[in-house]
Amino acid sequence: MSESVGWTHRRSRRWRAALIGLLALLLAATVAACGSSSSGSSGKGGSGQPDKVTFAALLPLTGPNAGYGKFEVNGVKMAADEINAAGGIGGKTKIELAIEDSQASPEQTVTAFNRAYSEHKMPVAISVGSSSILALVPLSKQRDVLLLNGGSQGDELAGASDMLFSTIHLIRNEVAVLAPYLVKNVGLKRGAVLYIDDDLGRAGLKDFKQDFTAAGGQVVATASHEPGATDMRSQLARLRNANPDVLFLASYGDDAHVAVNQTRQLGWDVRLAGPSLVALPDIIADKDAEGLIHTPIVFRPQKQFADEYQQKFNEAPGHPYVGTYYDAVKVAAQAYQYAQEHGYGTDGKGIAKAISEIKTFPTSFGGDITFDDQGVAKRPIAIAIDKGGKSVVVKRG
Amino acid sequence: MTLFWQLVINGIVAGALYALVALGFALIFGCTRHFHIAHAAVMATAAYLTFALSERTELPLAVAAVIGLAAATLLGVVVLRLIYLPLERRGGQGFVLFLVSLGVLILVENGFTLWLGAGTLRVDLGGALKRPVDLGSVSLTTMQLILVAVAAAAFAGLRLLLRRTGLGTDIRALAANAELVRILGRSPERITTAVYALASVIAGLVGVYQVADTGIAPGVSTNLIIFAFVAVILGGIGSVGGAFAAAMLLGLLQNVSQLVIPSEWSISVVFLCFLVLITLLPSGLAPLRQRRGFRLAAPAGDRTAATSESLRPARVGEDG
Amino acid sequence: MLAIEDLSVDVLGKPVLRGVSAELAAGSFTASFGHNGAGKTTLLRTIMGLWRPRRGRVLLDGEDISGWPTQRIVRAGVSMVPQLRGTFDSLTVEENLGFAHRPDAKIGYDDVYRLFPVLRERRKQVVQTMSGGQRQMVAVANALMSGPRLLLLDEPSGGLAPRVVDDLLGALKSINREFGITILLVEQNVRKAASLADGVIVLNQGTVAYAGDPTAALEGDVWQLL
Repeated sequence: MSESVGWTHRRSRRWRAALIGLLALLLAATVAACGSSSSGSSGKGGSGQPDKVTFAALLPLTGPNAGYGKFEVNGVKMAADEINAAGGIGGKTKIELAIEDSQASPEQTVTAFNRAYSEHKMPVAISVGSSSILALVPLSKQRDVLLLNGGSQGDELAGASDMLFSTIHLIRNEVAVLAPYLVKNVGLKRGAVLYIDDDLGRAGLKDFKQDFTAAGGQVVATASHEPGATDMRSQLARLRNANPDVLFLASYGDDAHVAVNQTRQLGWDVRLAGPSLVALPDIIADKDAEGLIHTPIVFRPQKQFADEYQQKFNEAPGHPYVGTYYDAVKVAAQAYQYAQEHGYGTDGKGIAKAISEIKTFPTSFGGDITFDDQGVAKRPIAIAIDKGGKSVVVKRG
Repeated sequence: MTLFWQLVINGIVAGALYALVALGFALIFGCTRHFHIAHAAVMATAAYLTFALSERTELPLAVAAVIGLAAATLLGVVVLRLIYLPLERRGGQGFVLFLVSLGVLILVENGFTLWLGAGTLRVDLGGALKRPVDLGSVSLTTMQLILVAVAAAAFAGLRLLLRRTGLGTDIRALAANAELVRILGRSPERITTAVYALASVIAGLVGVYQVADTGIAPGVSTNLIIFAFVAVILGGIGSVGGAFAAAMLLGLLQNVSQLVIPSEWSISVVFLCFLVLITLLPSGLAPLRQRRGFRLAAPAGDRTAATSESLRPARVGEDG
Repeated sequence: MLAIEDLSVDVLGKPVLRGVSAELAAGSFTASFGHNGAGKTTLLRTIMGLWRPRRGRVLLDGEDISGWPTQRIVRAGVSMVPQLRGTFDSLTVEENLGFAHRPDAKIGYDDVYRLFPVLRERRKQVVQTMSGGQRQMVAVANALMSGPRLLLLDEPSGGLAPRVVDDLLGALKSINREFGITILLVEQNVRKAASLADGVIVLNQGTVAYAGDPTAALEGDVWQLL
């Protein structure tokens, strides 16, 4: 149940799930007919370079996370189109996408994976959601499929599988930069944490406790809220009672926004801090979040990229997911070529081996990313402060 | 101590929200035994329409809210007249009706999600209403004060209506003996429609409040309806006053319990208390009240229990 | 005033009435007997429009009322006191009567209170708290408040003490005489009912076993007819 999907918002509660479970049964049949499919096969085997390869994209096309799924799918599509327009991988192998609806739920993601695999035997699957991806890990090993994540920041993804790579860094990478900054640069010694009661929130809590304490601070109070909660006033009242210097929010999406608003509604003017998950445009623009110290993921693509995206999808590339998922396809394509050239085989293992050897890849964000030995992309992490509704970088990464 | 009082205030605010939903739910459930979970859809409709009309058109917020309320009321009535009543005529009751109601809820919620997106939607009130009001060492917002006042007014108003007006008598008669209503030449359908309209207006108010305060998103109204349902059971089926009191109790328990237990357990604690209470008092809290209660249906005595056609659970009498 | 013609009614798919015919003259007092399941309650409910006949008709003053909604039948002047559940228990006596009252009815609060003086004393009392006999008075009063010309009663004396039964049945007789209301009374208490009635209908397994003079019933012969 406790799912973590990057910025993505989870709207479910354990006890509501039972109710909705009823419906899931009814929908199960319908869903089978709804997933999009694409024809063609991976063209695996034989000598020489195949004409085409299928990448599966198991992303939320429906459900509460569909809004983010759109950016993810667009990023994937854009990269594949770009590669194909240039003749394909190595000028020969065209990428075919099998885009399936994962609804960002582990169950649906596994179903989508199996459906895509039975049809395409794809060597690469791109998905989102910590729990969903963890659910795919055993399957991916069994079927020899490389997994790519561009959106989830749950710590548990680190080193979860040698077949898994994330083109986005994890929450612990951000906290490792943010927590010492709060203590040492701003002088905030007493910290309180409000975290969302799911994997990601608990990871954020653990990371913050560890890094904040290590930097010489003290965590004086913690409280959690349910995913989708609209009332966090009592948790906040309790945290305020501990009289902290800084309130660290390990939450995301609308929940984080509710937390920010209700902090101020209590008449509490504490200094706020949080990872990129909290630094949504809406929150940054809200004057309740003034002074929020955060670690932004800034996606400012090249003009050519932005124009191309605008033309293709009729909107600006308004979310970092566009970049991280674009990068995921580019990474897979580059590694595919490398694996082909080095005779590793163009199956999941071969491509994974290639990524581990190449290590550093160019990105749509501008700089490079380097995968660490746990398969997580490392990129410089900056510190920014919300000033007058704008995220102003105060310390470069 | 300050923290305690702050939590009490938060509990009252949360309780007021649950209570408003529970009022309508209890009214409907007490009169018709309809497990009208689509009550949540009525609430959501008011919230989403208020948002859509005020943010996507030039309409002022107040007008948008009134239209949202009216549409929500209409939805409640339409669901009754076009779905529940025909269903009942064909013999669909109880669980069948619940499933159909759940279908309506999912349809409506997903419809709005498709239209307006799955994010949390809020209307901007300009901040003044959301600024904290200082009450000594504790604080709450003007918005929250309004909510508590609306809940109190709705409770008192409904009580007055049920006790002092012809419609109130009709509603209580319907709750007590729906078949006799028909036998005496009155239309149960017409009274039921009035009940749905009344409950839907209250649900609509909750929706408007929700979208103006913490925001509306998929699932928000469903969560509220679950609390309302617990309050109705806890308060004693057929007892509107009991449901109101139980809802306040739930809100208080959920918030004040955070003084001693971590917040992730507060809902579990609430439900644990619910289980314990309902085991000890299977008829809910209402029979505890010895004064003449604020209830729709009389607690059934031996006479009713003897009737096979009566589905109402027998209980010991009050009103001594 | 009421004619039942060849009435057949199924309840839950099972035939309960099979070709029942009967006639009630205006101002008459008819008692109906029969074992459990003979179809007495079904007959009353069908007249009230609560159940639809499969075959046959119900004529009120020559007009076919089968298929009319109950509301319309009540407005045409037929009322029923249902078995056991003839009151709104959580309402006061006054609220009960007020709910049933039709402004154009010839019978008003005063008439009902004269008939059952105890109800006037207890008009603010919640019915739930009253004795069985008093509750039954409220039930009859409810039916009267809608101003019927024909009153159907489904075992009103069920579960009451003998003396209370006498009072109640006595009241029915005066309703019949004073207000000229035609009465069809379904009763278990054969002797008492037959002594008041001027006609008797005995139902057996959904058919009319006997219709006619009450003396036969009074002499205890009725059951031999079955």
